[in-house]
Amino acid sequence: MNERELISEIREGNSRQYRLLVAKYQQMIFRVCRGFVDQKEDAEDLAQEVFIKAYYALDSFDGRAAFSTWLYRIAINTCLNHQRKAGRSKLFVLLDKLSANDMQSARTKSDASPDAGRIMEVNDHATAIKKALAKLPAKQQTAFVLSKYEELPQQEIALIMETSVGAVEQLLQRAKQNLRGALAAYYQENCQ
Amino acid sequence: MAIQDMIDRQIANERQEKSGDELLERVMAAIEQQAMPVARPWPVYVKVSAITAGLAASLILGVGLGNALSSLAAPTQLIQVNDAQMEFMDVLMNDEQ
Repeated sequence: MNERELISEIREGNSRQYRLLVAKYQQMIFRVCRGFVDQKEDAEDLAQEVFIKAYYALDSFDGRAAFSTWLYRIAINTCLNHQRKAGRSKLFVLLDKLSANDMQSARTKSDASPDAGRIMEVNDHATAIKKALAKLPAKQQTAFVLSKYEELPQQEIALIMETSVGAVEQLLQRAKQNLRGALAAYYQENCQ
Repeated sequence: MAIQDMIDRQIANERQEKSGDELLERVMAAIEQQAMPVARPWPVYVKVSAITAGLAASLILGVGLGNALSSLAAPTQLIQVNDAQMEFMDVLMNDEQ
């Protein structure tokens, strides 16, 4: 049974066949999700969310693109949404911690030391890289993850992102530049 | 470049990671659990059939009840007599006497 037949069968109600699709694509989707989050467990949770979303959206898969391309798009949207939500919740936690007094003491410390941003200090390379990656614009981040974590050719990235190969090339160049810039201070402090 | 090496090494490490087997089971369990409420509501044709059958039953019951009430009312109508008839009966009875 080929993939399209399998998808038709699942659409007709044979949900158990979906197991075959998940088994085939789970490592691919896990790798993409891993590119967006810090922890392996978070990547597994996101991958689960991606497959559940894909299952319920299966009727909207029109077969114009490959199933993997369609799945990549769902994964990227899910990961970027997660990142937005996580960013917002981290900000709220941070604001919560910084009560009025803490704000005052932070201000005092910042006067004493220019490095007041140490409240979010990174502890290891992985976290530092993930933080730098998360700060990239969504398109740069997506192109970078698909290129580095999935090792996809630029043509396929362009297809997934619905853009041109030239645009992907530019996004990748900018992503690398921005990452190097964001990690330069960390590298000087911790690696030299 | 050293920073680029650091990034590449980190990505290479993460690419070695594999998702656990339980991911597949979690996905399938979630789908099966969530599919249950979706599968449960009655299909439209069953709903339409039920409504039609209900209407038909009400109609039959209504007609039947109407007939039953009519037949109950019928004997009362049979022994009803108007004033002229009563007078006629009185005349008959008086004649016999």
